[in-house]
Amino acid sequence: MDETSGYEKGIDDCDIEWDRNEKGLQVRLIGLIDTNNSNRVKKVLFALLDETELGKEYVLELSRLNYISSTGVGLLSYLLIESQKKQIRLILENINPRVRDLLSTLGFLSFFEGR
Amino acid sequence: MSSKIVFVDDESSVIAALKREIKPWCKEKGVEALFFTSPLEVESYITKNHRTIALLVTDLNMPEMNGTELIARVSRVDDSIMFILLTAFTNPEEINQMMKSGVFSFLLKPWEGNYLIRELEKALSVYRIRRENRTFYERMEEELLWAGELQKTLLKHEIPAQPEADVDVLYRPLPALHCGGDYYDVFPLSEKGILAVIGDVSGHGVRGAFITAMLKSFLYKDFVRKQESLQHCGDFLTRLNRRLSRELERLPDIIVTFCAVYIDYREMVLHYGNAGHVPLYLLRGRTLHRIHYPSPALNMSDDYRFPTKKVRLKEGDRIILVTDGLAEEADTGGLHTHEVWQTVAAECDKSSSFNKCLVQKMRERRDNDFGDDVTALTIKFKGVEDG
Repeated sequence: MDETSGYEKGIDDCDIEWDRNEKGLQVRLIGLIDTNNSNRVKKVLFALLDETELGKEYVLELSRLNYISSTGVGLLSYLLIESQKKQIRLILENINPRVRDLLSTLGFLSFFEGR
Repeated sequence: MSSKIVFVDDESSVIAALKREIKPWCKEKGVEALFFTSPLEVESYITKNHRTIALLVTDLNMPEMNGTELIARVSRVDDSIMFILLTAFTNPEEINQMMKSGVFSFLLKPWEGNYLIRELEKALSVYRIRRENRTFYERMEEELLWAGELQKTLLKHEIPAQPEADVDVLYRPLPALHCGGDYYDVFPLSEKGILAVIGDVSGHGVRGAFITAMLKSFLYKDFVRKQESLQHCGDFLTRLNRRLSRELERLPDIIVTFCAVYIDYREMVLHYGNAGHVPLYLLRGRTLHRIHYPSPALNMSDDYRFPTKKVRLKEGDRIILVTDGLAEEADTGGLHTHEVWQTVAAECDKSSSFNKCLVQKMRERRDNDFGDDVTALTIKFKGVEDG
């Protein structure tokens, strides 16, 4: 998966697009993350993290992520822990308002850097 | 159990040709082949022996019954049987219809010998994979049923009656999985008060049930029995979080949302601690109050200190604790609004079973499909007798 940009279309309601630039990586999650697709999404996100250099940014663009279940939040939490170990800045960008409300109500947003 | 192939064609010359062509292959592969000229006899035979039949090869046009009708009838008996149609016609529309009806392959008469054998082998191979998958699925289903029964024994269903509070709980795991990641427990603490906890492990099924079993194993022994001042629900969660973070060190993607409430009967105060869980609601008369503060779930940050919130109680107050399966809205993916909760809670307060009514009303708002485990734990505070 070591490409400048890429796209993975899921038949399980989550498409993943990504682009690399000099700052790091931008990953766009489109659709939803729940128990049915979290394993596949996890594999893709962690494979992309493995290919991101120390000190770079790993931006999750979430404007088209319409729903995230607790399994999905657990996945983001794990991604955050692993990115911190690799000294990569994990940033949540343009969080869809519905998802933002849910994450905010449940106290998760305070753990993530946002834009 | 060996798998048989059944052949049927009303023309005995076709049957004779089939027998000649496949006999050496059948002998080599150890496959048993049966030959019929009557589709009605085939239907009768397969109905009695369907478990041993892998494949039906049938002519399309037969006077007693055509091949597609025979296939439809046999499918109703056993949908794992594969079908190959023999036909002399090449009408594309007809072929299209055949493929849509679940036929694996079709052979044009006169067929080429090697092609026939190849199609038979392919069909048998697909059949074997389907049977293995079905066996695997049935075994999984058994395991899940067992896990569900075990979880039922761990999660309390009937809470002993308290003079000061009526406690009711309703738990429904995802039907297909029989067990789930919702957790609840209630600890009556003599005449002093009651501690109720509710939680939700990320994910469904056996994984979630395993974590709830782990919680059950140490929650009372290590946290409830030993803690002197259970009204400090925040401290309770802080210590629980540290313990769970150690236990789940190798599973950092599992988070557990959790809520603990302690009702002090004498002081008539509700103490509340929250770890990333959906809000608690308090119904007082016809007015619903939302009690919440944002905080991380358990196993997100091992050194987080959870605060305790206090709320004065009145006689008749109903405390409503739910998991997100009940709290989430279908259309937006967010939580139900306060207005929705207000309407539903006020309606259900009149019902003989608040929890059943609550679950029913919320299910209706989701087109009868929760898509998650569902738990409702409610406590109606009756007050304390003077003296």
